[in-house]
Amino acid sequence: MLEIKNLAVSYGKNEVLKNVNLTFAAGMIHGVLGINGAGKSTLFNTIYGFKKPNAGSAQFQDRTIQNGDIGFMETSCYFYPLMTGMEYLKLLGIQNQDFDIKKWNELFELPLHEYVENYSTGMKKKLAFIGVIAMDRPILILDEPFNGVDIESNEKLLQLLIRLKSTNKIIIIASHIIESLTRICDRINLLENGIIKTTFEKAEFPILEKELKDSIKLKIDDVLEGLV
Amino acid sequence: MNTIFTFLNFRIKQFFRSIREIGIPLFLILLLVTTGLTFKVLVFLSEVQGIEMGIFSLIVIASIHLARKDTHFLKSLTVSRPLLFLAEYSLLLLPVSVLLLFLGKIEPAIYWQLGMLPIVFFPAGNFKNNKIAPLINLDRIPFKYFEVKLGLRKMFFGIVLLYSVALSCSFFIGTLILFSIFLLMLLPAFFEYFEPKEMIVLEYEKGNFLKNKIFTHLLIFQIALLPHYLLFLFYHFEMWYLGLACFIGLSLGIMFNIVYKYASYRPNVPKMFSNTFQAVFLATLVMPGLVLASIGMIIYFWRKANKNLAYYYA
Repeated sequence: MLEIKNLAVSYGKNEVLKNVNLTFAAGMIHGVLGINGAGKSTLFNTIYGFKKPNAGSAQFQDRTIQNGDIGFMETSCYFYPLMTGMEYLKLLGIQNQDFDIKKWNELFELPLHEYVENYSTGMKKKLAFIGVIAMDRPILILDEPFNGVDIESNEKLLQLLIRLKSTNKIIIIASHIIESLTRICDRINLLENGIIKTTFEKAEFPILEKELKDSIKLKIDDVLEGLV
Repeated sequence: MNTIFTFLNFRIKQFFRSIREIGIPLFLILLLVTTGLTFKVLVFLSEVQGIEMGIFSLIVIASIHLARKDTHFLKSLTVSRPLLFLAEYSLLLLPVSVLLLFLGKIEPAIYWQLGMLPIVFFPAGNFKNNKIAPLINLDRIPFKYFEVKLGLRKMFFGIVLLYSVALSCSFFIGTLILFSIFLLMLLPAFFEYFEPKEMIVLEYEKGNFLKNKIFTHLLIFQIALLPHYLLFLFYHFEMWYLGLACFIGLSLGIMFNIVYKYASYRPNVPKMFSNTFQAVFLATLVMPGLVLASIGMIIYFWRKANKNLAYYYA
């Protein structure tokens, strides 16, 4: 279990996360939903250790998170210039002897012997995704994994995540595509202005969708009144 | 260890691929032209003491280490990062160490190889310009000198570090020369972006666009560098001609970067695509006997820039 306790993070005077408390259980897919700037990426960066919190902590199995605990797929991953997809996966999967790159690549059919800089956005996303799998970590954090991915690959990603759930991993996903989240998540945390506003269980997802649609409609109506 | 070997193996491949990317013929030409630079470095290396080499090595590696963009990727690898940095930087510094050993300079070679040691324990990529840049108030610089603003925003930390280290080490005779070479290498980053056509039209209509641009930028850069020249004269007055050479070299560098920018200028294109000519220019500037070629390049691109600007705006 991954526990976030009283987490507070700020950039200068700007408080991005305020007293966030969350629990992520193993064998489940957890969604984190929020508008741009809500604090999703900051939450992930803090859990992973890129950002130091002002207060609070993140603990995995009642101990501090260590380097090999988390596989983190960022919104935009870094790829070295003149690096092939194969080299990228070999480096990330070096500790995982059972990882069969060719077999995994049958899923997305990426040109692994070409330089990653020549890949499209979607292809880079898929490569980064296989990279996270190659690391074989107990916690997977995926920040916007569906961005720029075609319909077929999106479906493959969803199916794959459902299968990964059965390996008892903790899977945490942030996405703007609510339909994808509601399809695979067991629990969705709504992050708003740096606080967890509500946590929705699977049975409550229709309520979440309705609430979101209503609130967006209200905002649009407010702005467009008198304009259109 | 397996991860480190795989990583280094990739880095070596990456180096050879970059040679293949620029093309073997062009690489050979650049190698030939930069032989002059290598020669100058060799002369410099044969004169320096061990501790100076250690400091130089630390500065070179620190500038690479603090600007690393792969820190997030490296965190994904379950490997000791100081060990990985140590292996990578050792490999990077090795050719110069071999060169020093070949010259019989054992102590400087050891200092060169080990000078970078403290930096491997320091978090990499820690001083990102994009984090610092918003904190720097450059509002006082008028917008028409946007190249200066842009360069400072892009490389503020590096420039401040380089500027202060060069000032504090000005009692070494080679400091101003090395500082000038580093600055010449940084200059293209100031002038790589093209301004919107409205900005050019505004200045172009006043006449003497290129001349004014060159004059004002020479003034800005050389005033900023004045403390370096003065300190050089203070410590090494008997070598005044070296200071003058640096002044002329940097002035030529500024002129070239401006004329080259407007020779390649195209409206609606945000920035220059290639830096090859800047590299060739730098090589001609530092290679003995080729200064005339660098002046020739300035004249060639000056004409080309004038024609180019006249085509779009006259």
